[in-house]
Amino acid sequence: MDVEHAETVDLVVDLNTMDETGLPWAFLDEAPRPDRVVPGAYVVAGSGAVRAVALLVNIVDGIVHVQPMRGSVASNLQLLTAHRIAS
Amino acid sequence: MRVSEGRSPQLVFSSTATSGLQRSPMRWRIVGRGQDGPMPPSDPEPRVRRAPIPDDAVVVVRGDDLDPDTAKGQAEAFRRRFPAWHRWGLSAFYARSDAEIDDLASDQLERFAVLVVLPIGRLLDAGFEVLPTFRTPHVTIAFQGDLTEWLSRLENLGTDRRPNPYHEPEPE
Repeated sequence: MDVEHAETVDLVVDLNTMDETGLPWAFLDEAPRPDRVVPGAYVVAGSGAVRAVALLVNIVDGIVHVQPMRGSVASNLQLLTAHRIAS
Repeated sequence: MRVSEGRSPQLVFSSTATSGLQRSPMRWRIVGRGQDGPMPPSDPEPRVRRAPIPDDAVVVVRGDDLDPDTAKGQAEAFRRRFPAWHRWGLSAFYARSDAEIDDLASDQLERFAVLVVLPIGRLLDAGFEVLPTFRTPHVTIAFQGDLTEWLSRLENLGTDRRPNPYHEPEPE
């Protein structure tokens, strides 16, 4: 697997959280690479040691909502690869 | 209005106000204010559900990496998101039984290798608020004051740490 994907995050998200949408949320301006944070894309999301591949659902007023995928980052690597090749 | 004494909270219902509950030494009081509809993400306060946390919800469960710095960052993000609430906050989910903990472990908390199970009564006794926020069974563990001190208090309460059997670890 791509080690970078397991050790870094594209979006700092506490995956316990939710807001009115029912989805975990994060601040766009805290993303290490905001250019990767585009609705419809898949990113590595998490905080601390926790990681998940997540679909970027939307960005509203600087708040990013994500839908985490089940399983490990490694098992969802194809989702990341497709997006990053395209970008 | 329904009132109970002792360890159980005094539950206060209002037709106009959302019933966030905060424990004072012998009873509860209403905190927060009424919300009749969805709030946009930029709203300065979290939505507190009208329906209180069920009386038989005995614990809240959080996914955790057991690193105090992670919880600190999460509490700071909560406060930044909801500045008018003037509280630190951490997300969790209430559960009424081991079966519900198992459900959480396999669904909302599947991404976490370790789950921390916190008795609601002990949280309240330690001075935390436990508020029903957003969608059931989500709750916010809220507190005011020195963040480091409160997180230390929370860490001492969170001794029931369970490996999540549904979590898929990364390969070596």
